[in-house]
Amino acid sequence: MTFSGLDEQKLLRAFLEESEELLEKLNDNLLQLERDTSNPDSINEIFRLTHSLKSESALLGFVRLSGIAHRLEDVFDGIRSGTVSLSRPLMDAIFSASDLIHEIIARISIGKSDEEIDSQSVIRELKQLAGLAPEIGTEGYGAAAPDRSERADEGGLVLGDFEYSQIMEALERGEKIYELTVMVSEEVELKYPRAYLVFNNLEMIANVIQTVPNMTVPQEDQLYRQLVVLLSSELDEEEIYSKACSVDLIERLELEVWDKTSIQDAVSASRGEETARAVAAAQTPSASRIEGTSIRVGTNKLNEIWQLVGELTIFKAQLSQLHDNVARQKGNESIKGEVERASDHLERITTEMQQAIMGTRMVPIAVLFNKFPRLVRDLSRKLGKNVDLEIHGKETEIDRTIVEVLSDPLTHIIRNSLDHGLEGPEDRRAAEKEEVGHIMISAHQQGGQVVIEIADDGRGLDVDKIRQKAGIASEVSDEEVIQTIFSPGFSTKEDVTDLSGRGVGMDIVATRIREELKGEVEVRSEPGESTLIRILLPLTLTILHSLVISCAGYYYAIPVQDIDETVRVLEEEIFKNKGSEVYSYEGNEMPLLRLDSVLIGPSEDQQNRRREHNGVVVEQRRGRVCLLVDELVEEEDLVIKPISELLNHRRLFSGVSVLGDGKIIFILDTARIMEIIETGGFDAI
Amino acid sequence: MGKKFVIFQIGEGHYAIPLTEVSQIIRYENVTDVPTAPPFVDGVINIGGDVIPVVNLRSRFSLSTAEITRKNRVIILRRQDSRYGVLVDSVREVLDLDEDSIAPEAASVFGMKTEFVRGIAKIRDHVLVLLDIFKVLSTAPEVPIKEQGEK
Amino acid sequence: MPFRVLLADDLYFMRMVQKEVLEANGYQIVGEASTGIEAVAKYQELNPDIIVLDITMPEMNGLEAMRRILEIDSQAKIIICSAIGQQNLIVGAINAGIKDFIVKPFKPERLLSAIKKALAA
Repeated sequence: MTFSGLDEQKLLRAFLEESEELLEKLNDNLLQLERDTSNPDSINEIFRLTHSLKSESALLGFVRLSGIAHRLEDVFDGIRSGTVSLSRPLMDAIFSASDLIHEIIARISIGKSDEEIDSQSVIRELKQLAGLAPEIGTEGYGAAAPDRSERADEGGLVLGDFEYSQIMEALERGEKIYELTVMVSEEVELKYPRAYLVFNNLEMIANVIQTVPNMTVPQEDQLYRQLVVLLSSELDEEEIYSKACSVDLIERLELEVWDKTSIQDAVSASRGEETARAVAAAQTPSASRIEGTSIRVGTNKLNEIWQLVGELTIFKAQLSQLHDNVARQKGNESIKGEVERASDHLERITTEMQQAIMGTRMVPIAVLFNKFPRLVRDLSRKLGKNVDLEIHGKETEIDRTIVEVLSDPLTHIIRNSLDHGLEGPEDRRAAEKEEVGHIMISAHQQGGQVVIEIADDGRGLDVDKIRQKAGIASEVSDEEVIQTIFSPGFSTKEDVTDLSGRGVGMDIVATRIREELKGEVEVRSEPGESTLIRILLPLTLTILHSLVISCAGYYYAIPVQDIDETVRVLEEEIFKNKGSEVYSYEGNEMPLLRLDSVLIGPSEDQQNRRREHNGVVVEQRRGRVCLLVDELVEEEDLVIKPISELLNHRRLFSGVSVLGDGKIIFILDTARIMEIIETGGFDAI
Repeated sequence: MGKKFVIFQIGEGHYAIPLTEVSQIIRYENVTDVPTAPPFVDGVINIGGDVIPVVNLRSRFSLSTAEITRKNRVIILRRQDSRYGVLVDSVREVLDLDEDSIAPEAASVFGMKTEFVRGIAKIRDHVLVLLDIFKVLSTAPEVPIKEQGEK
Repeated sequence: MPFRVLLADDLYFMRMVQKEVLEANGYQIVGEASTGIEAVAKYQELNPDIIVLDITMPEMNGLEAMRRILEIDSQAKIIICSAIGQQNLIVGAINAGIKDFIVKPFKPERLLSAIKKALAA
């Protein structure tokens, strides 16, 4: 057989994507197992996971990876059947094997092979501790020397060329591949004919690819106590099942639909890679992969759909504008009504669609949180600290692009908590605290934001030290002082980090959260008692609820999340202070900026100034500023698009959007505007 | 087989860019003015929901501005994920150019700085400048594209 | 309406046992045959819901009778009674289209469950 059009890269990507998920689950289950070493669910799940990993990696020729996974699978098979007992050292060896797997996959993901990895010592340790017989020959599974006699799975199906071609053809016809396992009652005489009844029934409605034992050449009758049938059919599971069920004296029936993994499994176990890849390719006509009820879609595809929905919302807005125009005209009452209904309808559909699509971009934050139990476990053991980790709100959904960026900062914060925040057991005893330290990670949605909190009951921040090192005046409140751990360059100051018990790289964490994620981060601390770090993130990066304003004939938008309030500013409330204008508001002063002078250039015509202005008070962590604009137009959900460098050489905008009437509108980057004010104003740029 | 090029005119000069770099050619319509953009950016247009800057090549080449006529076109260029529009005086044709009809020497023609010229071709009685258009677009606004002192 | 069953076995005792069990469980025995030829004729005549057919019968064996019956009615529900050692014959019968088979000697429940299952299928 020849196969063409195989995309190795695609396959590899799919493998990496899947293995990431798999490793997370593996991690989770290992940790669970450590807590409860007899938990059969964890044991079975780990067995299953290592089995999948073994086969999938063998398929792609990652011999070392497959070897380790294979050994783990053996170990867990042993644990499952009770022949291997799970000792403490074995548990540790399992963890180091799992670490090695992580490492290998990390290497693979940056395009390296797994060959330089030494897997032998880990494998040896596993075998030794599990008391598995030492093995002679290749350590790899499948890829090195596929043993045709090796059972492809528990059913013992061994697939040859002919079977493959049948599977391939069936898949091309759009049929499903089933594996049916039939247990004939033990007491039954003449098991072969009984099994034959099942076989015959299936033959009538499906294409039987293989049976084990063989049905056409009768073997010893007792062998037919279990019959495994591999078949393809366009019928669904129920129909296959009920047909097989119609035979009397069947003790047990199991019907399994082969998904891509099982097919690859079977294929890789007894055949070379080529066929298996072809199977993979045949089952994945596009980038999407069906797994149970969930479907995997490439991020690109998703973004494409997202863009289209974006256009749809623009069109929707256009239509409602049109409707407004029609409504203003006289007459045509019946048409007006119809247009209104149609417009309402479209509005509703678009909104729902937008939400649905938004849902596909959202992933539960569990994908991120699930890493932490392992991190905390490892680090606390290393540090000799006793730590209890609590996680809440795993199901909170978050934009997948945010997840990617958030991973490092969050990991960093937790490391800091363990490293510097929580005291060792003795210190805790001395402080009359419970010996076990606590870390709590939680997430929830609040308004248009996701709130993530990391709290610990450690020693808290040393406010005085921070104050001293950062050179902050005494009238500044403690609360404000501790925020300086997020200030750029803070952690690079000598001594500060260790003495303050925090702050290592916190400035970098803050920068990433603020700049890349448009989020916010703040810290609270009770000296000697606790530290809480709170991260606020937008739900999604691409739709922004914004206030549209006009200024000197142009439209701009300000993200609502940046706005504190809108105010009427009287000319007499504006003062000059060291050359800059200041707005005196409720007894407080804040910098004031005439937006037109920034965007258009300084206005010569002072006389023309109005006595009363619309002001938008923008709040950022740097403080507040009042922007004077011409009109407050409306609030809108804007689909944000990237802005070309050519249009943004002063970096005043964070993006661009298209309004309902086709008007192009720039989103003001308020953080940048404040930065400019702080660093010497607009004359400097 | 030669390569296909889009031939356009700015002032007296004829320029060529590979067809593979062009995503579409449209009329100069619905261009929204952007106050903060450099002077040679005429504004932006909305194509399929994307906001694309339009660079006025006349003004980028330091030529006097001319009124928009029926002959003006905006060539939409695509590179990776970004699209750009360039306003040209007119689009002449799409031509097949053989490799050997292109002189790779980046000679200075029409006062173009050589770094923006990929080659020169002679078609009939015209000299064609094969323009490195993305280089033109990515060059800082204050850097002129043509040699100083050219009239 | 009870299900109508035709019994075909050369041994009267066997038929009696079967009849007793089935009638006690609400089935109606519409006829009995002691040879293959008789079985085919009665099947055609009585058109039962199901026929229990012994393999070893005089004049025409059960398998031949089965073939003839299936020729008359391809949907016929047939249960074959056999003895150990006849497994190849049974497989042949399965290929021909019988619904189930019973291995002698059998317990009454076995006959009941086979008939029930075959009628349900």
